[in-house]
Amino acid sequence: MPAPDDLSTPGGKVFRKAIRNIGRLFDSIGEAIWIVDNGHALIYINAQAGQWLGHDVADLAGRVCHASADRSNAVGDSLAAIAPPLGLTTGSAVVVDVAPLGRTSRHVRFTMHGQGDDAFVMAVTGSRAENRRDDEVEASELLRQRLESWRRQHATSGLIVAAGSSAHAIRIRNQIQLAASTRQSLAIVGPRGSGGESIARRIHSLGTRGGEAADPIILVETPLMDAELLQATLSPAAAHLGRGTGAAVILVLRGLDESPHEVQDQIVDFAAGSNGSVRLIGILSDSPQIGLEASQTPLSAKMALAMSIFDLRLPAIADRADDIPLIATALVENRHAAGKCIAERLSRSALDRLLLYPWPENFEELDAAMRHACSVCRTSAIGPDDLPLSIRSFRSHGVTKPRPIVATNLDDAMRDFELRKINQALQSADGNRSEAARLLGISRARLLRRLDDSIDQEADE
Amino acid sequence: MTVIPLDWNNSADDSGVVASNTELHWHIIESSDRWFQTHQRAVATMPDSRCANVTRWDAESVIGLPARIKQPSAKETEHFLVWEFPLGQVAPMRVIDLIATVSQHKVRPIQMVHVRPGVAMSTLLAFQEAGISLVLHDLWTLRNVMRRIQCRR
Repeated sequence: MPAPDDLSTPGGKVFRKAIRNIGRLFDSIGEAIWIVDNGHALIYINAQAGQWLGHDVADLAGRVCHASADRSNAVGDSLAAIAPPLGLTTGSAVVVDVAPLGRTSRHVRFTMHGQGDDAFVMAVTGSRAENRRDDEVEASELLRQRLESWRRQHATSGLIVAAGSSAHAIRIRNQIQLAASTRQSLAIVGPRGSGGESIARRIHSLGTRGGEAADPIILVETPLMDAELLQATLSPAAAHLGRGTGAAVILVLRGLDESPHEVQDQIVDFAAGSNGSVRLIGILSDSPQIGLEASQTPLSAKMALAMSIFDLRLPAIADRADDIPLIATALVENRHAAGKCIAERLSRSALDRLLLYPWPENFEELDAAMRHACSVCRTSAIGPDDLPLSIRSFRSHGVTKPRPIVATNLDDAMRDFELRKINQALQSADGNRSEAARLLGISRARLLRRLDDSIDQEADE
Repeated sequence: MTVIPLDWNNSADDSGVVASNTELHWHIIESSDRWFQTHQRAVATMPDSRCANVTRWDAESVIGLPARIKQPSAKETEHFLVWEFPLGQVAPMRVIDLIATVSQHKVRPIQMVHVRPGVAMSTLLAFQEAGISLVLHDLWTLRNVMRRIQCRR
């Protein structure tokens, strides 16, 4: 055994002899073994590892071995596949499946040794019993399972955004199916609050690639990013890709058209370096345009190209008036089915209020309104009074679009008109029913009868 | 009850107050106070004091955070959350629950996180999946983010 002083002298004969002996020892184990230094350079790789990866070890030794390595050639892909997972700390170990392109996957135990610049990671393949997944990996699996419920919830709201029978709704549903069938990057274009993120999650959950639904989907606040922040934000995704299990990541880029061009380019480069393992879903307020000067377009040339492959347009919810009753009802039913509210449906008068309102914050405002109504409603049907004040008190002043005609009959219309007048009178009289009856020129008994009838009829509905 | 007729671009909360603009509210969730202090120093350098609304939460009080964010206020409020992890003895699963709960809020808050060395990348990735959209790598970056938020308004 050489003395420690001799080992610390790289030029020493004893050191070289020790390395050769260790190499022979590693070759005799019959497992693929490699060592990566703190700068991600592959400082040792044995013959078995070369055979497994299908390369001469001389082609790999000394090369940088990183999750974001250029995967456009076989050597680069192998280097990316065998890169140690990021986040390892001295003394910690992680066992992951490593699957180089076109090769069988193997369990690999990555262990970090040393401190600071002298730290290195040693990787050994094998399926020995002690190669069980370590606590950290087990814990991360648990976390992922917990997240599934949140994902399902998001995906459901994505489905609801596309509910309805209008031409817009049909087109959105078809485009979601189409987007789910590919791995291409895409742009979701729509006004603020139109449900782009929910649609992105819906597309993710419908993904047809094996196991795609288990791939992480990460929201990136692009307008607040600079190069450093973006690097920090993407590092967990890079670490995930570095596990080499053929895993992929979906980046949902919020406010993409408000972000700096250099940040956009950095994102495109990150995706390009992953050889198709990163899918970009941009949330935009306007369609991407290609071939324009950088100063004329909110998207960089690279990003515009990536986003122009496929764009899914979401119209303002007010432009889908025919779909609003269905979407609102679906939101209420969803909450009722989850045991979060008593209400099962919306009364006709409440639906009328929803149709009248212009929905400046789009789908997300409708969703929030239904949450509010469900939380305050104490009957099976949500009435106008259960809606948020901004909606129930909205008056159009003639600036809204013509109200769509809801199928009705004359008796219903008369009843609604009468009730509206009674409600107005009650409001003017601060809730005093006798005063309201006087204002309307009817008896108090008649006013009370009308109110009772309306409650009964709403209950029947 | 007085009914307030509303225009397109205004809205009212449950108190009936029409919001003319939005205000920003910061929530710093940490076991020490270094992020809170960094926030305070950054506010001092900004001419607009709209960033001054800040609440500090620790491991014991953080359970009340989702309720605070859902609380109706007189104005439309945009919430910005800065999480530091580890957070006392709070388990990662609990933090994920809180992040995900907050991210379901109507006006989706912008949530950022800083993890101390030694926290696994897989944990950080799980936080991002729950709703974190920005990872802060040191104290100074918070100041830059705050400036950018100011500039956007």
